[in-house]
Amino acid sequence: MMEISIETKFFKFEINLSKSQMLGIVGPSGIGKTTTLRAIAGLEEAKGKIVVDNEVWLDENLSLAPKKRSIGFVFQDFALFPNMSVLENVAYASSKEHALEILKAFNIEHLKDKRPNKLSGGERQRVAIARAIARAPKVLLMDEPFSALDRKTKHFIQDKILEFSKMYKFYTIFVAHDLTDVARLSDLIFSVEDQKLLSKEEFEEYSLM
Amino acid sequence: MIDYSPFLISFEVAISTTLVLGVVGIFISYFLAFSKSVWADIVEPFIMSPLVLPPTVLGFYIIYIFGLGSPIGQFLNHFGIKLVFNFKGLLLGSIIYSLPFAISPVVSGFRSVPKSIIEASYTLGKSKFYTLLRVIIPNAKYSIISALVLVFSHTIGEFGVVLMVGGDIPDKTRTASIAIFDYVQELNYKQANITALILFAIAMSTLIFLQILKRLQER
Repeated sequence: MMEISIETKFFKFEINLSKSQMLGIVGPSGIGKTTTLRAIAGLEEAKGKIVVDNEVWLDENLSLAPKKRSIGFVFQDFALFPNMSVLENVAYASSKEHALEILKAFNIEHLKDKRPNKLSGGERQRVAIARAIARAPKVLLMDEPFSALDRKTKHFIQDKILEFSKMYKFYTIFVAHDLTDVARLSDLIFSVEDQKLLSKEEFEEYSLM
Repeated sequence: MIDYSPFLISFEVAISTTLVLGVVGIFISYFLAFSKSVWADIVEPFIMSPLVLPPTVLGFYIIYIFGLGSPIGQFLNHFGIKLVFNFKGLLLGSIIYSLPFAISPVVSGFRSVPKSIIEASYTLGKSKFYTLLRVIIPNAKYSIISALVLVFSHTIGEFGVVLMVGGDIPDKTRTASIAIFDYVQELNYKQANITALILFAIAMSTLIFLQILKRLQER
């Protein structure tokens, strides 16, 4: 179980997630969605409580450093290491053998020796997702993870994320603008504007309104 | 006949200074580039002070603080360490005088590394030290190389501080730039010219190297 009850400078965010559950966060730009992901990762200050599988990441006495929180973070600008090849990027927090398996699973094994500056936006995004998953995190955090992908690749990657989330049993929280991505991937949806937590069915009705 | 001794001393000081500042400078630069502590704001002007202070002022204070007349100088002397009018003094003066050249380009280089790739390393479970070695230094390598080249060439041509702290002891602390001064005093313009030409060639080579480095960085 993952329990989050935090307050950033933007809004209060409370949620309980079960293993392998996916939460999509929706809302207009500049409302603090990225800040919430960063606060969960420990990259931004927040007050409140985060407990992941009975391990306290944040409470009134403690705030674990990002390196001690088992997270995979997909940054909006991908944040790939320019000085490393694709394989070295994905193997940064895992082994080369495991990184190769992940690259194969994401259908990007052929890119393994390329540097990030030789990749297209969509390829970079896939590498960033592969790198975050390669370390088998407890929590996968993704900031606009499908923005540079075409429809077919997007669905392929989303299916892979679902597959890995079941395999590694990680919790997923992601931010997206495209409501169809949110509807397709999420079990639960948090609407920042209304401060409402919605089920998949409720969200489908809500997004039609 | 060229007297090689001043060149050997200059090279020895320059290489030692570059090695010391190559290591120490990285950590000071990291602190200045990323620390939010008020100490970073206090320390930075002191490190940059050799850029604006006359070398004689700096040389005077090094002698004043580390000379045998001072408590620190006397304390060090108990352990057989003398830091003025010998090679160690020369090195100390060069390190302090070249600090801004070692720090300033590296701080800029570190600050230009995208914040997100540093944070990505942390979120992948890596420590600050590991991130410095694997992510920050490789992505600021041109700035670091520029700093080292600048320190080396600046130390080779140093005059004021090395003259004051090291003295002008032939075969011990008499560097190439001091030798030129001495040759001119002796009206030995031929030797002064040869020595000056060699220093000029070294300085121009390093500047051309920096220009090539700049081009490589822009690619």
